[in-house]
Amino acid sequence: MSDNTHITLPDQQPLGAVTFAENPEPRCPCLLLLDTSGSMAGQPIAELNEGIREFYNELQNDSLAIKRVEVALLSFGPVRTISEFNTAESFFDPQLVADGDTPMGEAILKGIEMIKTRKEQYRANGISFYRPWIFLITDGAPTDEWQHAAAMVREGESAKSFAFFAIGVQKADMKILTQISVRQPVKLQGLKFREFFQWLSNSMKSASRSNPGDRIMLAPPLGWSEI
Amino acid sequence: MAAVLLTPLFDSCGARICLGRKIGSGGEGDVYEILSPHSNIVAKIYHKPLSADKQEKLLLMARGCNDELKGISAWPTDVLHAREGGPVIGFLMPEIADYEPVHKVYGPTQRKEIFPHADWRFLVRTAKNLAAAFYVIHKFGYVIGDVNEGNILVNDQACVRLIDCDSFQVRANNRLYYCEVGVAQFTPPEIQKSKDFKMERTANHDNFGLAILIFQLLFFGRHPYSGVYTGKEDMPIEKAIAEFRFAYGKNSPAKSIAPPPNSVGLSVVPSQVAGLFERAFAETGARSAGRPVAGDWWEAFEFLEKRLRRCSADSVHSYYSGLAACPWCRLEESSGLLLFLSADRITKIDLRREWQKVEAINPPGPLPHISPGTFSPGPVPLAPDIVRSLEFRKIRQIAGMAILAGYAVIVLGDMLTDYLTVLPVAIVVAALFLYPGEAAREERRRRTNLDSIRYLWDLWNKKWIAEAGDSAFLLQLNHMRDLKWKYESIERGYRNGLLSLERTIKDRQQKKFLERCSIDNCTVSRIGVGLKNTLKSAGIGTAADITQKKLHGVPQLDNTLTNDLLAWRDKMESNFLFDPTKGIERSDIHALIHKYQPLIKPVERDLLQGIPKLQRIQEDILKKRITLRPAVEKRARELAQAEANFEVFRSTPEELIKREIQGILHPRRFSR
Repeated sequence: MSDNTHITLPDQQPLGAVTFAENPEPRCPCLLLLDTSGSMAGQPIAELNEGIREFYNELQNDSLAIKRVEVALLSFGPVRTISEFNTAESFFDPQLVADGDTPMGEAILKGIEMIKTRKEQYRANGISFYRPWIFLITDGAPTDEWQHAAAMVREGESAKSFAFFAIGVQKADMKILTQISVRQPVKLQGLKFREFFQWLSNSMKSASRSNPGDRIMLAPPLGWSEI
Repeated sequence: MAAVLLTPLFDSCGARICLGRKIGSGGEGDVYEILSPHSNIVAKIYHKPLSADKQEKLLLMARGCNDELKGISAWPTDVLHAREGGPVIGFLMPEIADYEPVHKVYGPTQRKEIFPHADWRFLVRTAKNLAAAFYVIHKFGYVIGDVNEGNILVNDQACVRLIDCDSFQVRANNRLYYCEVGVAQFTPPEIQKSKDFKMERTANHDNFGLAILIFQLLFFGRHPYSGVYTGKEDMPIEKAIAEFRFAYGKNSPAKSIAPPPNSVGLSVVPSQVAGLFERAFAETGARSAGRPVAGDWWEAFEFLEKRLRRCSADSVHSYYSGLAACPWCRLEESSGLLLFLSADRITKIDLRREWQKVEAINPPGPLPHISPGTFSPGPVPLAPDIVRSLEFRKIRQIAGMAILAGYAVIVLGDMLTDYLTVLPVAIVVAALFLYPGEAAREERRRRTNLDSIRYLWDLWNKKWIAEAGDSAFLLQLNHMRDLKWKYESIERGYRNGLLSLERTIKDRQQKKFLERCSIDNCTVSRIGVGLKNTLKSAGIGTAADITQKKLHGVPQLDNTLTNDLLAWRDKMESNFLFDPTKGIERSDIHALIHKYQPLIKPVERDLLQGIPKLQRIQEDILKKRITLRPAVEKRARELAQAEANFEVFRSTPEELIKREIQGILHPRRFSR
């Protein structure tokens, strides 16, 4: 096929260029990696859905956070992009359903890729950003190869490309989480997703008011963690 | 907090101050209404006991309070004590109502929602008033320190007020009371690296924050140090500030940073204003008093305001008259942004004309048919030795069959005496049939050739269908139809809105009339000043507010009073005269335009961008039909030739058998 003519696509507008001009505030990206494996079925998934709804609500009620915090949702079991990075204006009711296994390794790699892509868009559009946060929420153990993902997490953390937090729910394998996350994983108390998301939205609100640098200001995980 | 509400507080003269409703809450304290007679005054009460230093600072600020400071800020007017002579637990300040944080003014999205009438003139005036506020603070020797997007407020008249004044830096009696906070985006390069703010701040530091905010106001929320950085590493704002990477400056190429796409730069402001920005953001600004002071900005905007021109294409576009053309029209056109809400109409395009452009683009039509079937070449003749070999093969095969047949007769006739003959006979027959010969090699060669040419044909045929076919065109055309439909339904919504305004014109005139009838003018004797105040605090201020349901919610009213009020309303209503010449109020139309314009804008943008895209797709398809055609036809012809070449071997009995088997295994291969 040496003599072929190249396939030319019509010109593409860079994604979100208009959105960035309408709202040039610095962005505070937050990626949620959500376990939707079969074991989450029933009350856990219902509580998780409710928690996410309230999370968006909280962000929407804050006039700065609504312009700066961008949330992306990725569920795994199987790995699915529920929502790309978006400010809370475009509220997204995820309505997660729990079925499938726990391809945590794949989810983490995909998530890191999403962060990378979003950062490139910020750069191309002259938008400043804070260090992205990744929150992994799981109630089990990976059913796929996770060692590579763990290495990528370590690499990203040391390059300060993102901050990775792992939250274990119920019977989560905290030992493996410790091997994946550089930061100490935290165990959720019962199914206190709402309390967790309340805490997260508060943290994001204050982070979006801090400086788009590399300092991370998180309140102690009180009220929802088993510490 | 309940305790605070119950016990009265004391001001510095020992007068009792009673707190009312809590109206705000922050990290440090809460803000409360003050019960009359203090109107327009509110109180901030701290959550935690204050240090002696902070108490002293508040006292000094209150003593230094004057009308100028009160006019531009929530300046502490007096301190508050829980008991006479006790520690300071809070302070009094002017109430600032109906103001919004400045970030809602410079951010286009929220500005359009909250200040729908704001144009660039409004933004320039806000910047000028901001400079005026800084001027006053600096004039009295104070420093703001923590300049940020949240503690500067703006109202719909572009007036500016500063809040959180208790964090300002105060100098008194040869002492400095620090401002210990700050936000990086507004912190100047020279103190960007310090770990905390326990240091002396200067007016020159404030003037950096002032220049940033003015930049954001004039340039639609863009931060001057947020651009497209060409380096590899991340470039957060505070790092860009520390390294003087002003994305819009003369030196920006040397700083490896460029303005973001869809932004405007210093070319849209007078050179005088551009010069101030360069001075504020360059290295020299970091020297003592190196940056423009508030007064410099004020003068520059005084100059600019006198030279603002209205765009002839859109009256909401006001711009610096020194420019050759309206920069906002250009930016809106190139980016698809909606910078300001138009006061005249919801859209600037004529859909019918645009759609004619769509219809003028001829569909490329179905793909021209190219197939190997259209060619019928004769096979390449076989070389004489191969023809000979082929004939010899036929003879060999006939001989083999004859032997087989003879042997079969012998076997069937039960005449076989020695079964050992089976083996040599079988070997002879097999040799006759399977001896390769020259012909078999040629056959293999032609078959391999056919397979590889067929593979190539499949690839090219796929490419032909994908790139020269019209499915991409039809897809885009359908998308355009959807957009047109969306556009029309939004426009319909707007027109229906206008119609219903027309239909309810009388009701709304009457409502506005009643809204002008204040209950203060109600002369019913049983309704005194006290009751009127009660009504007002229950949200009943005019005749328009008086309804049975609303009155029911006021416990102080008995039946007679309720009836009196209703009768008064009826009386007012009878005074109303409908004026049919007045038409729909301009403000009502504006509200409607402001609701529908943001809806229609993205659809309009997609439609406009979709037309050249459709054109490009069409041209591309037609071009591909010309450029790809020879190559595709060449492959079709080659395939036809290869098939014909191979066909000559198909007539051999062995090939016929193979073909049968192939036909069963791969029924589609020979279907053409």
